[in-house]
Amino acid sequence: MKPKEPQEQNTRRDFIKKSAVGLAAFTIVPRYVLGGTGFIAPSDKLTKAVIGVGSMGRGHFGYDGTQVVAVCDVDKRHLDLATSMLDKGVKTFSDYRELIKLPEVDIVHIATPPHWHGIMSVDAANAGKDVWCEKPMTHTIGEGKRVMEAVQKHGRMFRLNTWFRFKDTFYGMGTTVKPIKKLVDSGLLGWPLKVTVGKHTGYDWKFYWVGKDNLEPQPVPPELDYDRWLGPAPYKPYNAHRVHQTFRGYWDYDGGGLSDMGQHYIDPIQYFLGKDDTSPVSVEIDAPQQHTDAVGTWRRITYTYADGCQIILDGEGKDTNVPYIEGPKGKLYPGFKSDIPDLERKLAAFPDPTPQMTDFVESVKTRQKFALNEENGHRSCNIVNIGLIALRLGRSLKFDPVKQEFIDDEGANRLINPVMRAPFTI
Amino acid sequence: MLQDAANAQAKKDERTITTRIADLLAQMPANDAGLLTNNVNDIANLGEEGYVTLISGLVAPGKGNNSLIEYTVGGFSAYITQNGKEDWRKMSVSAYCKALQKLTDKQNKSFIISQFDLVGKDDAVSCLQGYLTDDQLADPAARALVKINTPASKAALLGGLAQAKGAAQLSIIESLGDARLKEAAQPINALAANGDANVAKVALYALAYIADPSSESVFAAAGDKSGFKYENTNAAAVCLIYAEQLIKNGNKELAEKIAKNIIAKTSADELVGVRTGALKVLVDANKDNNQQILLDAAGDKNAEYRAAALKFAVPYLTSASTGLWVKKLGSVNDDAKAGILGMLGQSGAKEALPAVLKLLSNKNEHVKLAAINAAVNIGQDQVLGDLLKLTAKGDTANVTAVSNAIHRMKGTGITEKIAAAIPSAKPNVQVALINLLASRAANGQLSTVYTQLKSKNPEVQQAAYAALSHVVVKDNLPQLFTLLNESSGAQETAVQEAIIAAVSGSGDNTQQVEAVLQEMASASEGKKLLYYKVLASLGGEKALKAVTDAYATGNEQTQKAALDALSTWADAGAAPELIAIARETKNAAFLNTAINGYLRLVREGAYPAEQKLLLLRNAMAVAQTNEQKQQILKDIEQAKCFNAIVFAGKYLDDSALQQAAANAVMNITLAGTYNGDLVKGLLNKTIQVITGGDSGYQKEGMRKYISEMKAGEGFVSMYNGTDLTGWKGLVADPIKRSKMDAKTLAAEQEKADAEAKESWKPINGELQFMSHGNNLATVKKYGDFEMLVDWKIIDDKKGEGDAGIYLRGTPQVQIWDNARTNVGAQVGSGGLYNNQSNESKPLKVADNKLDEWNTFRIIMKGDRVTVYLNGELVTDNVILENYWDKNLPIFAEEQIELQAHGSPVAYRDLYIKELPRAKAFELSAQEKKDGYKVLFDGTNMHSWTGNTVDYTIEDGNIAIRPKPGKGSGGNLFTKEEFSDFIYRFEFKLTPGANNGLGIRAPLEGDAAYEGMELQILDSEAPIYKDLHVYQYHGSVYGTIPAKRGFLKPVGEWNYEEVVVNGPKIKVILNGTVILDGDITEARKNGAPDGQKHPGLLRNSGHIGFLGHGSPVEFRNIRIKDLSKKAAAKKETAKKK
Repeated sequence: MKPKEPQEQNTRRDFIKKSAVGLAAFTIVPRYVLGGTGFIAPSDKLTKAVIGVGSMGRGHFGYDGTQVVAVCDVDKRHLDLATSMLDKGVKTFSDYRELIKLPEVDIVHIATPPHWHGIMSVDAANAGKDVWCEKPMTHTIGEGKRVMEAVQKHGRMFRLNTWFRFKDTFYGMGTTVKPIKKLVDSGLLGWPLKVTVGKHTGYDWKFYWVGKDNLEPQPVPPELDYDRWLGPAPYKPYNAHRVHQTFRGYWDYDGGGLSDMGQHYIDPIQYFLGKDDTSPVSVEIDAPQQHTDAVGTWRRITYTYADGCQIILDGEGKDTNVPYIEGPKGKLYPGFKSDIPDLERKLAAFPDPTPQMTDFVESVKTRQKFALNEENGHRSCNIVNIGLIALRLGRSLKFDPVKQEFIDDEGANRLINPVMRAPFTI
Repeated sequence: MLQDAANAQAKKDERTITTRIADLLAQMPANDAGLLTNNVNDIANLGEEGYVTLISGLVAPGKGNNSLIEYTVGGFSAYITQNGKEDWRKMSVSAYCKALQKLTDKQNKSFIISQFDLVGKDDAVSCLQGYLTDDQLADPAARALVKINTPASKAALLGGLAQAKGAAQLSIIESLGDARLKEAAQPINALAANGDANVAKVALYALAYIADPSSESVFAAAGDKSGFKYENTNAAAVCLIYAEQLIKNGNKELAEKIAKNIIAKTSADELVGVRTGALKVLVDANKDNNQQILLDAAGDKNAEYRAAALKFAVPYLTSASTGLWVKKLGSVNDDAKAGILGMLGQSGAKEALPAVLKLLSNKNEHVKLAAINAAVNIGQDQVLGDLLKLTAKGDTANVTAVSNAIHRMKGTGITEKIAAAIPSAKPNVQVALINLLASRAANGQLSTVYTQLKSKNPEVQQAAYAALSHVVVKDNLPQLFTLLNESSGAQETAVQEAIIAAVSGSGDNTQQVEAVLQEMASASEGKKLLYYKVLASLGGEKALKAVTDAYATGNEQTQKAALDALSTWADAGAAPELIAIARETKNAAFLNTAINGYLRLVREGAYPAEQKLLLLRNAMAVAQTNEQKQQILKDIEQAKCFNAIVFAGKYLDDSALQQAAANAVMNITLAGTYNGDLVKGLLNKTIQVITGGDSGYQKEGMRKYISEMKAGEGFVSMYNGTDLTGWKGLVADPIKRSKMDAKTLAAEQEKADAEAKESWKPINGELQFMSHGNNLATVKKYGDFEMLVDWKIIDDKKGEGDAGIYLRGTPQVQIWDNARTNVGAQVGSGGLYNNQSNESKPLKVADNKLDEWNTFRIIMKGDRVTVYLNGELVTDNVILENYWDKNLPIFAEEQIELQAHGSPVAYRDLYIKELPRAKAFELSAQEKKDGYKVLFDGTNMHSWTGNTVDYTIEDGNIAIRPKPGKGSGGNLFTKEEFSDFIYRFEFKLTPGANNGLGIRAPLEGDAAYEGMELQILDSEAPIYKDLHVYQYHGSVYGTIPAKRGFLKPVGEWNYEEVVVNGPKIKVILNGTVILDGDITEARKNGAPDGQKHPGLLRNSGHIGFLGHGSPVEFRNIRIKDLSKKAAAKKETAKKK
């Protein structure tokens, strides 16, 4: 028998629940009408608008406590598919700026390709909306800083949509991250720690997300506004492989398997290593040369923090017995197996990690920072983007986590904040 | 120095520029950093003109493939941005500028312009300037100028502003903002009021970042016009950015003025985001004096504004200002109070602790909860007493909040204090505190929990029982056994769990099992069942026997308890019992428990993929429900092998199992390298059927995989499951068959085929030998191949199970019942049974029991056979001897046969993949004429003896592969002895390699002394710099030195000829005579190295390769025996 899990500790909710007895069923009214002087009634659903209703965006309609009231896409077919799934009154847009102007929208959910995440997040924050953004948080380090500043400046709530730091079985680990965090905090493994992320620790890099290095120009399909799809990215002739399902294979919009899966895998590591407010100081890569447009694969990327902790992204999976976490005093393998005898009991004696705010609706209503937010989300996305820059340049790099710049490397620094195609700005 | 070397090489390079470019492009893309460096050197060596020529090869998109040039240009640009490559960077800029003149297509121009993003400096400005008026190229050009970021690049942008129109103008305005060019403020101020929304947007953006005071009125107008609502020019947000940038530029006064103005105009609730942003500006503009601003904001009527203000306050909180916040607590409403408490807690403000503790008893629930959280954040274990006090009245909300806080409390003595509070607490508090002892594994507090087992309150009692397993240690076992006998119902289970917890981790399992069995023996019948799970947690054979016996002999209740225990068994030992139960039980619930327990053990067991698959197929054979089958298919993903893909593929048409099957096929295939139509077909089918949120990604992944599969490779089926197509009866043996004439053979074959039909029958898709008759042979002959076959010895209770697989018509890879110790079968199956001089036994026993399936993976290359049995390596690259004629090497190709040995055997899943083989070496016409004989032609080692294990055949070469740390690799000698001869061979060295050619050597002893050793050595390796002259390559070791300097570079093949004739020895290396000596002198007076060389006196012996621990390869070995000729001459002379 397991000890009772302590209840999730954002227990303001429990208190509110108690005081809210007797309220009528869901009311859908925008928050600012209800909000203002106090916290809104917990039984009220929040309203949500989704930008980018391709397969990813359409998969995000049914979250508890929210109701989709508007959708936006630059592809008419996506919009048609989306509206067929939603209530009649849902508004549709092809320009996201019209959508975020809607006074009745509380949360803007961004499910576009990553090269749009930064601009849209900032604009939504500017418009006074709270933001729910898909991973990877931003396409560049510079955009991540901008998102962080804008969200905080405007007092917005931001949720980056990967969730393994606070819920669900963490890929091949066979456990949630919580006991891992507790283990790391306990010091039972010693310090510094080396975390290996790859096939043999249960993480697949989806290397089929590579681009094609010789795309022929094709006519733009009539239902697609390609210019808006490209947005801030440099103009390149249309080819179906650039957009929709396969955009991840191109540097202009994303960064292959590392971008696709990286933040899922890396964000929980930042969290349990206690690195949420910093970044690694170096990255080393072992990879084939990358094409200027199409993303390729890599063999190994090693990040090192100032205190010697390391994250190793293993793309080859050669070492079949590699532990997920290795410390000077012990190792942790998938399935929470360890070379430390009787680990679970030893661990129980230690305090639980600080509780996290894990319900975004709750976060929006009470203005408490969500567990994975603009700040730690930006830091874990930095790791992805540092890796992508090293891959594109084909060399190892040194990074200053405070300035968030590469040290003594002009080429790498020029990739931190690429200039956007006008008139798109962030 | 490297670069100099490269330059020197460039001077010598006589290839035309076209050839050099073609050679360079052929190296793209580099596979690693080292090769990238080489390529970049090559590009630099092309020189500017050559590089321009290379770039000019770009063709219009759609008119050809630019990707290699893009790799080259992109790779060079990226590489030269590192420090110390300034010369190359300059060269590249110049080349790109020139190339831009030559290129016509705008997309290609855009590609080259974008290189300046990385490599551009002032030297690129003039050539970029020209594109600033181009509708399409202004954008990349302006972006590059921003990245160049020098006064010249900024001036160029400003210059472009005057002329550019449309899209080009937008790009330049935006870039001037990115460049933060002050001089641009004036001209852009005018544009901001332009009617075009896009121009206005980029103008405001640019002005905000330039942040010149002259733009104040522009922003005031834009802000007012927007009403500070979000609209397409983003006016409200850029007003704030403008103010922020003013602060950065030191103009705090103007920033503050703007912020206050915005705050005044955004009091409406829907504008709270903008108002908050203005507050942030105000706070930042007053860095040293912003407490009052923040305190006021924290009392605002708008909750979002308050929450944001508290976050802004965190970095400014000091021990001095904490007092102000504590004071503020007294004057604000409850929601604001809660917020401030949260902020103080998050900041760990120690000075606030007394005030926080006071608020623990606040009537408002928000405030109280915030105070609890703040208290524990600040005080940790120091506030434990206060928190416990808060629970005194037993208020549920308080108890929950406090208990949650204690879960994460750091410090010492926590469980002790909790335990001390339990006796006098209210029952609901007792429950919470007991739960805390459990979750914090309070081993020292068993007595407190023990006392509460007898609590009159049922909830407390229940909590105490539930906590038992978390607080016990092994010393508590006697107490627990007693308790078990006294308890009943749910409490029994709790005590059972506690016993399991106490025995686990206690070390000696055998002892524990003994103790538990003893207790079990003395327990009443009803209680005995409770011990099964305890035994399950310990595992081991003795415990297993006790529980399986209970299952076999007990009533249904006992059976259920025993089965439940087996299904949670600690080790894989219970798996055979569980599958046996699953096979025989009629009870659906039992079947389900048995299958799930079995699957768990298989999942957790460290089995090779093939064995795991066999185990899972056992489960599939008895599974009844779709749920069970789906789980099995899911588990099959862990058995990553070819057979698993095929097996899972069989369920792609079953609608209930289709998705599980599709995922299995996809995940197994994509994790490995598989080729061939079988896998391709299954993947294509999977693409058709797979659904789910990720299926778009997955289909794309599978299509990519298919496109990269190698054509013409992969397994094909050897048996169709229904008849003997592709198979025939056996006629005699290969040698006899080869001597039969066609007619006789055909007649014999007809007879054999008829007989085969009686002896070999397809049954349920399997191929079964009916215990009589002769071998079954493939119609096709095979050379090198990899074969998969599942086999099963059917237990006919006669105990004579025996069979085998003949390779190339030759016995055999052995299959037998390993219980037959009378014939030596205990070694297991998979050995090359008929081998006489090479290994005939398997490396380990990997057989499954009779009536269970086994999987062979047999690889035959040249004369070598490798066998995996159930995923375990049992025969490792061993020579298969020719059974039919020992004097012959194994046949180059022949049929594969399934052996008939009188006992019933079944086969299934027969697949074969033919492997490409190197062409056998053949003597030249001249050599044939001269009487040379081949000693090694790449296909077999039949002429050789000695260490045929470390000397193996790879790609038609003899490769010595000494195992690291395991000796020299030994010697490989000709079976025949030679005295005078010409020996021709080729060899390839690895860095620092050391081997030797033994001549006139005995098979025993050190050939360098007992025979002679002609050195084979990487003479130029640094480690050999201090050798004696008679130790370098070609020397008669220790005796006669050879000339140095004629070896090919390491990694290339060398051709050597050794002529030995009486006392004369000649070595010709790559056409140069490097040794031409006579050992007569050394025979008389000893060798120059001063060692004894008895071998010098020998007139004949074996020739061989002498291993010294390094990998070396040899090929094309032939010999001309001079003594035979001499003997023949003598013979003739005698006769005369």
